[in-house]
Amino acid sequence: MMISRSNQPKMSNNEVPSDEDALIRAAVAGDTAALAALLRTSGTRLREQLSIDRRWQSVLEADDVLQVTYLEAFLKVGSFVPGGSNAFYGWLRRIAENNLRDAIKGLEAQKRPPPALAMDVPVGDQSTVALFDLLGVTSATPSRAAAVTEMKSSLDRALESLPHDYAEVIRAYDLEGLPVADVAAQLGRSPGAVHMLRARAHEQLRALLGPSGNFFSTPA
Amino acid sequence: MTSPRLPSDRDDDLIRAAQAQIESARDARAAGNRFSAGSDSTLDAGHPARRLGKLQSDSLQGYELLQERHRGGQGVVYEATQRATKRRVAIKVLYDGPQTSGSDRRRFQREVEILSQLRHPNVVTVYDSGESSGRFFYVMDLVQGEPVDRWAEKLRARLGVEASGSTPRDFVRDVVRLFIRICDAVNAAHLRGVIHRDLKPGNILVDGAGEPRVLDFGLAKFTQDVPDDSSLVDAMTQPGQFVGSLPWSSPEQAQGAIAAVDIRTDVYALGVLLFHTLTGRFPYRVNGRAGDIVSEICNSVPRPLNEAFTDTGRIASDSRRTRRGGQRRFDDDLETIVQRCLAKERERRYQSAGDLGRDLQHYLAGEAIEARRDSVGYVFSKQLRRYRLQLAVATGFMLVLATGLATSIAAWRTASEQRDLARNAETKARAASENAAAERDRAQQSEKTAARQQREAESVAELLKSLLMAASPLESKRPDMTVREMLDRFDERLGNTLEGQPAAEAKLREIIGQAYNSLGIFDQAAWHLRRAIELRRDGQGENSLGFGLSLIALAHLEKETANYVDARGLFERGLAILLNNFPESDDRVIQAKCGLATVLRIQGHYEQARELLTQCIELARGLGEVYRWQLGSAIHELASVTENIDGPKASEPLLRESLEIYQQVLGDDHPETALVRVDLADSLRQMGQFDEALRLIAEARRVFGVSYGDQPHPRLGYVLTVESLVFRERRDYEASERAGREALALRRQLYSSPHRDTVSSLNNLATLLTDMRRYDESAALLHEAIDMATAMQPYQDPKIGTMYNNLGRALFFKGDHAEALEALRDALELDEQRLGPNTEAVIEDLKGISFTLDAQGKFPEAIATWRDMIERRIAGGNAPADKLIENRQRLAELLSKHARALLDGGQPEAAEPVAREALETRRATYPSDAWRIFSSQSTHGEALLDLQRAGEAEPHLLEAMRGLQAAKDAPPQRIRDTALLLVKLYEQRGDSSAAEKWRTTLESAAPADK
Repeated sequence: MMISRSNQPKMSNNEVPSDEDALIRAAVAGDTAALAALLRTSGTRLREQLSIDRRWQSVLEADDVLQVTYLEAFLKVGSFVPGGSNAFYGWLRRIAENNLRDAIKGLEAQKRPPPALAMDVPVGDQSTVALFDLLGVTSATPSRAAAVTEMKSSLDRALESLPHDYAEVIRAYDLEGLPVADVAAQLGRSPGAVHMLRARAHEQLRALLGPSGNFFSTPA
Repeated sequence: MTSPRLPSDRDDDLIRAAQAQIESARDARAAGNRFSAGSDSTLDAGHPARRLGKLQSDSLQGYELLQERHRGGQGVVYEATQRATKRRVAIKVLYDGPQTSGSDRRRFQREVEILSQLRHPNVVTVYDSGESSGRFFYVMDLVQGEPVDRWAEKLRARLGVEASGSTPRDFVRDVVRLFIRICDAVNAAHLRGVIHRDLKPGNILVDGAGEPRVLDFGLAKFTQDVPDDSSLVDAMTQPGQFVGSLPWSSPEQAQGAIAAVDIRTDVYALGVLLFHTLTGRFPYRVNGRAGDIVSEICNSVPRPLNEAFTDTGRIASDSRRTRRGGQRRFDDDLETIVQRCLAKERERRYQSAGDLGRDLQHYLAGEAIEARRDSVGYVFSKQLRRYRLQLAVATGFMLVLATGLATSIAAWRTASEQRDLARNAETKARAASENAAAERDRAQQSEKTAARQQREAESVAELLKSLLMAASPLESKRPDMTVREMLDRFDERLGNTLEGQPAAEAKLREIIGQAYNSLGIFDQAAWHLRRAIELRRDGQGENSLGFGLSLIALAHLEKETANYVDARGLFERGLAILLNNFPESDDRVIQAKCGLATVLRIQGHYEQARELLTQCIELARGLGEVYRWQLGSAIHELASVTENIDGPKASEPLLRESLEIYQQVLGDDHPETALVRVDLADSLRQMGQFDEALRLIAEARRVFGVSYGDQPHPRLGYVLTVESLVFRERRDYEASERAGREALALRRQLYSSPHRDTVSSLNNLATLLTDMRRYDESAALLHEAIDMATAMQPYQDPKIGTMYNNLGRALFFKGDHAEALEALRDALELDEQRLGPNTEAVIEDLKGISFTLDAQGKFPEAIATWRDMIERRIAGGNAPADKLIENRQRLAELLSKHARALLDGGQPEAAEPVAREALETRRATYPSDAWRIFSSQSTHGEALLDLQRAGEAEPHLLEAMRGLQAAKDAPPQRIRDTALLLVKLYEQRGDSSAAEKWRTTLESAAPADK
């Protein structure tokens, strides 16, 4: 049974497991509406269980974490392996915790007096190269040395296929070299959200631009 | 986060927004922007050699092509089904083959034939080959796996290598293990005369079970990548033509010396791969023009692993990177192995992949590696080092075990005695005529219990004995087994052995927990101790002695890991139980009390701690020779408390006493004795007796030198730290910095993961730098210290608050008041949480905050904070009169400043009560003729005058003037200020003669300096 109603009625967590199973199957198969319905049932609980240290509350809100978590859920649901009744929630929660951790890591790093690297964030073509370096995808694509333009165009294409928020953060922070506070203002999000979006965006980019030596392994 | 909307609505919005973003991104992808993981299709454009039209599903005879899986540097890989066998296979069709002459074809086929005979679990088997439209293809196993670099990346993420900034031993071990298998696979091919020539991550897949599979053996020479006839450099100077394998190439390949390619070429590539897998980086720069890369490969000395790892890799250029102190993450042997692979001359490399694999095995086993076989000294020192390390660790460890053994033997003895008693009772009962049956039942029951207890005690003793045997380097079959491995193994065995004997299991878990605790493996320790508590609660109840003992064991752990609040609760609860069962003089009671005293001291309850310790010492004196170390350590602890209450002078005799005990019990040259010497040196340092302190330090260093050799040891770190502090007190900053940095370097070497000693060194060095006015360096070190301490959560350093405080201090002096305030507030929050609300640390934090607010001109807040500080000092019961007076004097100063600011801002109503309080406070805290009192009185008079209360102002100003003029050290400016106020007062009143008088005073009072 495929469920593609977008206004799935809200369900509490321990209700109708069979519906949930069907939703999960549909979501894994790529039905975004099914996933949206699943997220709605898990959202409240996730929000309740999310605890942000008081020190970060001014720069990081639960909404920020949830927003990126939902995006990630849409991006990664294909790799979710259905398990017991709580497997989906557990999976979602791990994503959220991962996001929270990255946000705090970023915020903490930001608190530090910037070492050399924050001061010379390169701009222009150099920044594309730096980003590739940062993503660790250069090693297997030495052609970039000869063809920065090629890299640039592949990066542009990759960015287009990222969720909008991810692409924006990469453009503003990694490519234009804006400070986190400015990126946050530009996006209308908190600095914590910027760190999270950036970490996730890098993951996605890494996958898209991944090493060319990759053989017939990981099925796309 | 105040929003009128309900969370579920917000979630709806967020989910909808996410869905919209994903769908539009998906549309973008569908609209011709094709990306798939790992595809390098972007590189294909414009490269004639890479054009390979889509093959029909039946274009290769005998196979049905199912789908294109990958386009790589050499060709296209299809997933296919072999029609005859229905087997799923992978088929690689090369872009460009050699000229397809008959001889080439035969050569290619022969190569494939050899390979198809190569059966190795870690080699992807090639079944078949052929040619289609002038292009070669070959058929092989379909492997589900990921390239080794991606595997390493995930492993790194899983083990938190990146996050912690360190390289856990597990990561290195896993990588080395993987490479041993890879080497074995490559070696198997070498033995058949097949050279791979193109080892790179894409050719080594790691499957879900962690097994590596090497592909494409010997086939590289049939592709463009390593041309047989022309120089590689030439090939690469063409724009857009790149050789996918260049970064992995050996110097002979990079130079195009194809004739020189042999199995040692593969050894080189394995070296690059190992380097890259361990660090995520290359041994040299592989960016820039192709010619530059070739030059790097052929000429540059590969950088050390440690250097590559410390690179954060954000920016390509090396020179721009900051290195955080060059921490060592890989040891010398691994470095040597990698460097040997990367030798430019083939003769200096390992001569085969098999040799490399063997050396990696030696490395893994902690044995001497072949790479340094030539040096006899090296081999010897290696053996010696291993032996010593084991001795040092095993000694401490066995102490714990021996205690456990003694306890269990004691329990066994008790159990026997109980059984005898029971037997006696039974005999008596039989003899008695009354209630004989009931009496006998009880006696039998009692005998049963005793027998069970004895059985349990025996099994504990037996297991401990076997563990002790295993722990001995001489008995163990595996001399390289670490204590931790031993514990882990023991832990495993424990589960089944003691089934149905919960009391024995609890006892053992307690001992294991303590052993883990002594090794600093706290989470493991906590798990065992908690389990012991559960077992005892369920089996014996919450009032049982066993339960109490387990609580105490956990309390010691919580104390070690700085959870003082929990530790205190556990000690108190455990002690109550112990005291129901034992007399006060029992050594276990004394030990628990000493533990509790340490917690109380750290929490700042010095008097309570002192009382407890005094009791303990008295009782310990009666314990006898066996427990003299207990006495020594109680006195040692009392010395620390005394130092906190009465200063180092009072603690010195106690330290000397405990030193004497240690000298008697353990001998003069024992490391423990040396350790007390270092503590004594630290006390003497605080008393300014630097020469004796340095003498003791030298003595301790000598003993440590004899005990530990040049092997890094935590105690060397400690002695260097104290030395650094002594030099610092002597204002010999250079020597202090040298010793401090040495201590830090040693600790970094000692601890690969965050450690509180490293944190402490960072902190000490940072405060030294603050003293040296190098605030930026200081702040950077403190940030690192705090990060490290934070990474140790939940077992945080109790000094983390202090570090935030020190950071605040450095920033304050630097002039970054806002940041300083933030750090100090963090310090306050942490100290309140971890140490308690009225502790000395909290008071220091509040002081810092108040000073910073003062510097920012935020007087009301500064005053409120300062008042808070004074109140807490009083509430904490640690307010010596002289300190309180000093604090109130400072309060008066703040009040004066505030009153001045308010007056200058035209707010006399607000200023008046503040000025009055300043005056009153100064009257209460200064001698009655101190000029500051009159200065405050002058300010108060000024406020009254501004409020048009001249009548009240007049006596104040006159009194102030008198006092200021009488005081010898009053600032002339204050006399002039007051005279000016009097002039103003009398002019307002129309009393021109009085005004004139004060004007004269004003003019003669002091030279005008404005």
